[in-house]
Amino acid sequence: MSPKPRDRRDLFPGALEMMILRTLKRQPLHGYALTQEIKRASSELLQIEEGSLYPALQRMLKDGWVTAKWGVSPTNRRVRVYTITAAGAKHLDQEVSSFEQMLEGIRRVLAPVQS
Amino acid sequence: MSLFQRLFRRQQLYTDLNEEMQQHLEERIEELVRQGMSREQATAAARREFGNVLALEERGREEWKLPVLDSFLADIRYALRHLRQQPSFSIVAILILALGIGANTTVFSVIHTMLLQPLPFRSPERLVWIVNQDTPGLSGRTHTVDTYEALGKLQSFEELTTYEAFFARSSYKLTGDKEADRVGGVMIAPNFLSFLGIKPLIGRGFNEGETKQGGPGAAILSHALWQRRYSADPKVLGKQLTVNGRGVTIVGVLPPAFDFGSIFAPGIQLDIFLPTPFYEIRRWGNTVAVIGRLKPGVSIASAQSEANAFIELRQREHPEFGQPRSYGAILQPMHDSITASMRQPMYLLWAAVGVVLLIVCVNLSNLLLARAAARRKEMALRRALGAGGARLARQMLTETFVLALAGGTLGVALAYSATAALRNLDALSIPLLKSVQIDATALTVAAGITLLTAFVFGFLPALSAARGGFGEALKDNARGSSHGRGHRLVRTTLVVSEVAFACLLLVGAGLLLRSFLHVLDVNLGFTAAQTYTLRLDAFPRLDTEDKAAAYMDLLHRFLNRTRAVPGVEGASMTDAVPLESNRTWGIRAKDKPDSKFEPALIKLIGPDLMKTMRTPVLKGREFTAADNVRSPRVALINESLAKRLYPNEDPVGRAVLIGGRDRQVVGVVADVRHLSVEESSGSEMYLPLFQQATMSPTLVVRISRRFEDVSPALRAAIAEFFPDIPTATFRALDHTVDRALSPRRFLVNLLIAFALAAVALAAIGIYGVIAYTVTRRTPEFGIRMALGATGGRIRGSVVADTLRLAIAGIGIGVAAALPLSALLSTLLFGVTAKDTATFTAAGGILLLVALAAGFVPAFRASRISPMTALRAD
Repeated sequence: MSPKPRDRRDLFPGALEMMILRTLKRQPLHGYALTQEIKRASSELLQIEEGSLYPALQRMLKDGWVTAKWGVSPTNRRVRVYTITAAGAKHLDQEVSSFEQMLEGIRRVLAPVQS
Repeated sequence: MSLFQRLFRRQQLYTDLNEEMQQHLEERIEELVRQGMSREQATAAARREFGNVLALEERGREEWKLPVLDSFLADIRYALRHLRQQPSFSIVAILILALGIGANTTVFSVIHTMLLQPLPFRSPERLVWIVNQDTPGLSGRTHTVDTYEALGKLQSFEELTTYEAFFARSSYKLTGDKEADRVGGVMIAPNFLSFLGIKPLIGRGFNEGETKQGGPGAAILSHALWQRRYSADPKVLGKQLTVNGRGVTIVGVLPPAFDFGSIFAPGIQLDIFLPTPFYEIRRWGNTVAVIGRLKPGVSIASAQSEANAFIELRQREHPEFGQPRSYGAILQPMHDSITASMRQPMYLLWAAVGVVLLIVCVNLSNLLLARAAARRKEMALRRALGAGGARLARQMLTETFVLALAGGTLGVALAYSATAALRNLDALSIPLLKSVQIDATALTVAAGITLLTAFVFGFLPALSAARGGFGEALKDNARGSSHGRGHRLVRTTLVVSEVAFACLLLVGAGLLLRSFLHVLDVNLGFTAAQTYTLRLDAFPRLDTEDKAAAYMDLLHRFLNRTRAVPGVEGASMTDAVPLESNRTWGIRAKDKPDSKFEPALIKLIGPDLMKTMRTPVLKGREFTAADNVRSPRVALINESLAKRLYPNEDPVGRAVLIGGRDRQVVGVVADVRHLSVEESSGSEMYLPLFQQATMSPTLVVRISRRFEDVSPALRAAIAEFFPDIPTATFRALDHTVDRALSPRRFLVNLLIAFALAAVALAAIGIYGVIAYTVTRRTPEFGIRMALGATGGRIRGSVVADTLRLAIAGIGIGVAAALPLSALLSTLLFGVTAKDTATFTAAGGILLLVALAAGFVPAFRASRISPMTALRAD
């Protein structure tokens, strides 16, 4: 994942996977639709780069977090639809909760100094 | 996703990824077009956004990669390609390996089944034989029924069991339900099967009632007989069958895995099992073999001391049991006593087959080194392109592993068919051979051997690849200069060691071959060729003198009728065919009252047996038809017994005591190898069959024509007297002798095969090295020939090289064989372990083979044209 503008890197490792899994949890999607969906859901703040998306998807296939099946898209195109697995859902829960803890930590550190 | 899927479904994954990204790109283009761009603009923009598709795909693929495994697979693919490019080398290498690994796997599985694995019985480690005395002959190893029952009191044993041990001469005629058949059989105690932990396939074992007088008749069938005679019909249980004229009920069928013969009487097929009629055989003397199971924790030594005390007490209480048959109780671990005779031969074969494998390794190592020399440029090029020494060595090792794996797989296949062939060898008196099979252990060992082999023969070539000089090999003029000396020394050493190993095997095989020839030359005391034996029916109960006389008369007429058949040279009878069955009685000179009873083999024979068997009568006469129930009791003794009973006296006419009766010695006959071909049988005596009825006699005929020509008339003659006897059960005495020789023949044949394989491999090795030398020295030969050397001279120098190799190898081999052959001495017969003729012949054969192997390259060297040679390279 690389947020706009381009010179900014990933926030932390695993964030891209987390977002993909979260998105797939709502509904199975193919690669292109995934980028569109993340873009839409982040109000165009985030745009997934194909260069990161596909290696990430391969990694997740290998780890068994998602499965892929060839199907037909609403636009009548042959697409490979990804579905989240139980293992993937579990992983997502863990990642989200640890992410929230981290966010909470960061928020506290960044809180305005009380005088 | 499993590793397996990752390895083998990757191609599919890659295609999916490729198509998926293609679709992605097109979807993006369409979207851009929808937003108002032209198709060209949209395509360009989408591609820009997407970046390098190939690189991206590569990154996607990388997720699936397994670096170590992948390079290994690449090595394997490379190795396969390489081996395919040199099919003749690969085929030779794989075949050699297959033979080496196959032979080793086979020999291992035989040893594993026979010697390493416990017997296939319940708690086999606690099973012991209780033999009577450790004397030759079954009588020495068996007990009377009374002793068997008395031994049951021993506290050291959990349980005893027994079987009637003289089954080798019993054959049973099956009639009643189907056509008449004659099979081998044995009488067993009721607890015999449960004692050994054998559950009948169907039905049950015997019960006590079936061994009692007047008890119900019962029989158990072997699996083979059940299949053959009853087509494996499970409804056979309860069926009636007539065995030797007595009606019995079939109560059980044994499992296929239990082959009584292969353990208790190798080479004899036993198909019917009957309950031991203890009441009847009680008066037969030493007839039952006794097996005991020690209580857990009881050592064989403490059981032995209990048995000793027991026997001593019994001898004191019943002094009459000791005369004429003395008795004891010697404990022997069952597994040991069954396989003891095969232990040394099998370990010898194991060592021999191991040496063959070693030669295979050396040979392949040599072949690979020769190829490595030819591949130096390739290796140097790869090194120049950045391959490290370790990487190149790994790749060479991969090649050898691929070869070894192919050879090993083929070898295991060979071992499967070899063990099947061994199982089907009938009439081979080697214990447990029928149970030999390739099991998980044998397969594991085969895999281990394969890997070890690959490492051993691949080590030097890999080292050579890793060390190969950098750059030099690439230069055209570096021919043979840098690689030369060391490389050649290694290969020469390998060939010399091959010759030495082959020499070692040749000497061993030669010594045993000469022993075998000596054994074949042994004077058996009878002539087996053209002699045939046939078991006749059991005597009817001859309880009155009239009945006995009538039966003797029948036998007399039967013999006369048989002799009248054209082509029959002689006919007689015996109750104990040499090398088949035996028993021992006591004999004492009557006029020497203080002398002890001498144990001697006893044979009840018809008139003219000596003439028929061609056993020389040394003094006096042999029995005639006149020696019968109405005439004085007589006996014949052999030369050994004559010397023991009457040293320096004439035994003819003297009175002896046999079985409590007086008999007059009427003649002395030559010793017969009755118990084994290789050992003298000691004392033997003969009583006239017409005076002492036996359970069942065997007809012995000597014929002067081919058996097929005589047998129809012979069969007709026999049928007049014994209508039920199938003449198919005629046995050539030659076969009986062969069976007795079979363990030695087996050993010799295998050893010779291994030695010949070793010599052939050594020849290949010599040829390889000499041919390589000739190629390397082609320019030198060219120059020498240009300067006037003749072809003969060049040839001579190459032959001299060959001889140097061979002589070095033979020298080392002989030096090693001299101390090692002493280990064989117990297996030798008629030759010493340092037999000069054998050593000379082994050396001579190797020298000739080496010369032949070296001659082809030598001849080629002498035909080199100087011009071509100098232009080469």
